[in-house]
Amino acid sequence: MTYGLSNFVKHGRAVGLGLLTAAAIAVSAAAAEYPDKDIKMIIPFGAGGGSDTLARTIAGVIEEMKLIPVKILPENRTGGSGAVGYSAVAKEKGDPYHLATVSVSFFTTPLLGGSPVSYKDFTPLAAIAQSPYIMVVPTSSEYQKLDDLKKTPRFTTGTTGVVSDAALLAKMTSNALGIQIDSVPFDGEGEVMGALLGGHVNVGFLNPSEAMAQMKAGKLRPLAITSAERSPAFPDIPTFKELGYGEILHTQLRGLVMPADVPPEVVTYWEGVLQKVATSEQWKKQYIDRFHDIPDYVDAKGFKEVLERTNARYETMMKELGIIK
Amino acid sequence: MEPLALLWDGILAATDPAIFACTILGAVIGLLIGALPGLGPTAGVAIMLPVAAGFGGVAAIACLGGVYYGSMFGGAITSILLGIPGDAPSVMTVIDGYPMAQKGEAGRALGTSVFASFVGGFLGIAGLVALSVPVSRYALAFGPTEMTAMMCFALSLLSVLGGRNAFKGFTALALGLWLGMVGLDPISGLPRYTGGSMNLFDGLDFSIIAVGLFGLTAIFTSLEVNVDKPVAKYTFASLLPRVSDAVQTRWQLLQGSVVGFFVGVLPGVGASAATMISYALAKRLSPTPEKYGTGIVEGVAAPEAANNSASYGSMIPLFTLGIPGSATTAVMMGGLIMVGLQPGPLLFTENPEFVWSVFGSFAIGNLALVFLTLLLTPLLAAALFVPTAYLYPIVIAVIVYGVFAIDASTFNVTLTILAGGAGIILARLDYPAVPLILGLVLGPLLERNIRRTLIQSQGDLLVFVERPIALGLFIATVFVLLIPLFLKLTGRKKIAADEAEV
Amino acid sequence: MMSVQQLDQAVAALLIIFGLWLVYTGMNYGVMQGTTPGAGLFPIIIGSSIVLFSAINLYRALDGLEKLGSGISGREAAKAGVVIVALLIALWLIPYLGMMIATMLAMAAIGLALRTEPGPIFFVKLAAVSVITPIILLLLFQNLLGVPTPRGPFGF
Repeated sequence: MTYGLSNFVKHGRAVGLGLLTAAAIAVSAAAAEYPDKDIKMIIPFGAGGGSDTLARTIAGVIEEMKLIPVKILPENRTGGSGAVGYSAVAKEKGDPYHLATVSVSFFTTPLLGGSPVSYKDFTPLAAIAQSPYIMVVPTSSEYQKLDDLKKTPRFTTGTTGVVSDAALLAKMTSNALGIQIDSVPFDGEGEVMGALLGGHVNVGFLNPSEAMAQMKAGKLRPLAITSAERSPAFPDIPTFKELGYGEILHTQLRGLVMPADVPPEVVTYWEGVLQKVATSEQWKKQYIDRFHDIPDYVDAKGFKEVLERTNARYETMMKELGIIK
Repeated sequence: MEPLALLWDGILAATDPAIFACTILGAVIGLLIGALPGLGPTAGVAIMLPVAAGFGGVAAIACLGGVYYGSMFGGAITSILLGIPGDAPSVMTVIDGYPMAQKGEAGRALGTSVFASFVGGFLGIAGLVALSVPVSRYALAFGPTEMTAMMCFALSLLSVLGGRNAFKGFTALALGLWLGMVGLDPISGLPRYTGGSMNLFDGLDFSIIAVGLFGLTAIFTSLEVNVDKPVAKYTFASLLPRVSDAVQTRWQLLQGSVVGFFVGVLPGVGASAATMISYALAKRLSPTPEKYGTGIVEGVAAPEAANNSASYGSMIPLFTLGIPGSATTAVMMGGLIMVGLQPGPLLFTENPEFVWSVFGSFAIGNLALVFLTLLLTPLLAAALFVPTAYLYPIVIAVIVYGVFAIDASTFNVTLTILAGGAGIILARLDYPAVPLILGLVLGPLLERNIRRTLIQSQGDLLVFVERPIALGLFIATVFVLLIPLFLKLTGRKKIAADEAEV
Repeated sequence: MMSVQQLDQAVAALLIIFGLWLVYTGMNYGVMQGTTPGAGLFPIIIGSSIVLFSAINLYRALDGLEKLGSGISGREAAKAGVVIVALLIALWLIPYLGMMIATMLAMAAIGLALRTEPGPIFFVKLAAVSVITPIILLLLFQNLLGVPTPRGPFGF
């Protein structure tokens, strides 16, 4: 990839004019009969993880429903906490044949200075689900509902990495309830769960799929969910908003992005495709029912706003923690 | 014995031709991936995941499990024959296995590793079947405080692996600890020693350094000896495994299996640390510690039993609690979800047949691997007859591809070559490589857990002695450090670290 | 050529400087983060211990206490050097020639450097090994394990 770039720089001047012409032709062609070749879907993380499953499920559903005339080819490009994969996509500026999904590292790695590209180097297409977080305590704990936490001044929670959604939510909850929830960064979701079940941290902010199995087994007790409305998968868990803490609202949008500067027609095209995915039975069965996310379609404009807001939240948090200036 | 009956049903279920075929496929792929330098069990399971998911149900997980324990068998092959650790958990096998091969006992060493892998696997499966519920409770009791104590205990055991000059051993350990700090610091969120390169952001993959420092250095430093002198004469008998070795190493096998199992269960620790602790313990307990490192079967048996048994231990939190304790089991959990199961505490009660069939496939796979590897042993050991002018280019090509495959990055290959070059200087100046590798593996665990503990306790150091498990481990640490000193003062025994060469 | 004793002294001295640099970087990373150790505390501890141990090693080296094996002979150093340089050149060539061809060239170069047998048969055998191995590896890694290896101008 680095080599590709250096090649480009070296030969860029000589063939610059030709490239421009070629790009112009590509754009007009794209408008006419997009897509006319297979689309690469870069997954910046390893096989078997959350991002990998999400990306492959989306690709699978699109293929199954025959929504586009070409194939989507998923490819794992790991390294650099997502930076390697994301920059591989971003450097294909204007090329509507590269796709990626967003993740927490999509924002945090660039903010930490670990990536040459940031969310600004991408075109948001649309989001097809949102993943809320569920605040839980072990069943053995004395806290039955959210306001019970006010009895105790200090808690700890486990997060993956110091800047994560769980850490962000711990901060928001601390401020709203007037308590202190300190985040202990662990090396993976498994370790966080182990620390929570073993009583080494007191509260957790978990993905729906992680929380579901443990709640069913009676190991964890849910206190509240971070979505705007109750999740269809968890009708009994109240939202923070219902409990009087409307400011605690944070979900992760499951959506797709392309490199910056892709033609607007392409964005419209994908909005159409993804809207069909979001409302399909296949998507519900293969993703929503399995991971207990909230089905939700967000168009490019709305998705862009969420990306900007999420990035701003992480940036503020990092500044407060003194990680960045 | 209810679990035995259930396991027997599981074994019968796993003899279903389709499941059996998938188990063997996984085991063979695992053997291959374990033997390839650079790629370890995590990469292997991830590579097989999309393929295996297509098999569905028991067959899929049997296949992924096969890759996991198969790689534990395979890792020993290159460690012994060429001094190149095939993956992280087989580094300790290099220490005694490679000298054995150089003495012309490659077959014996490989045979011992097969026996050890089998025994470790067998006892590991037994533990998985009979003890998974109480053991999972024990695993949960280990929080950051206990892990800190555990790492201190491990390091105190490992002080035995120093080399001739203890100060150079400590220097090497410190260098390893530093290498472990490269990358994004997960506790503060700051990138350290990355030089702004995104290639280093995730830290140094253990294999990159280990393959260079052991494998390439072994090649570089043997150029003179191996190339300019004729190949040592091996007899055919030396290529065959010996049953008597299995009997001779029974205590190391047992110790390795038990240590591997209980260390492997702990979330975040994994098989590599288990092999290190097991090797150090074997050396500590031995009446002749100075022989370790010179090429003895005991030094192969302990770590090889440990890594196999650890692979089953690490599956316990996954199957009983739905918690992936290691990177490899995290990928396996992805596999469980992909075949439509919900990993969690209810997996056992809701899908008992599934779980027991998977366990049954483990038993079958473990046995099948013994036959596979024993058949391959003379063939593999014969590789040493190939003149180095052909063998080394081949080995180096395999290393280049293997390390490249970790992250599809030539940057990593460059690092491996540089580590190999630096290894020549370290070897010539008597800086031992083993402590450096230990530092790289255990350093991050120690640093992160100390800092996690102090975040929890808000800087209060007393927590380290207030919690019973941690206190016990710290007392054991002091004990381990003081015994040799005491023995030396009373003139009863030599300190292993002073005499031995590692 | 540097003697092994001189090398020992030089490495110990370099490590002292390296340790001091670690301490310096540790200070910049921050020693404490509130009540908990910051990103810099461990680099400082590690750096100081490297300084301490290397000072002892330097003293021992200067005093001749360290008994080292024979140094690196010129021939061995040359051979190791050829292997390392061949590999680094091959890595540099990968984006231009593709991984398979670059590996073939590196193997041939390393084989030639390690040559012991006289006679033309050696070249034939080495050429065969250098061509066949990367092809097998390509099939193994790219087709079986699905690793995207860099391709050259000829499409492999």
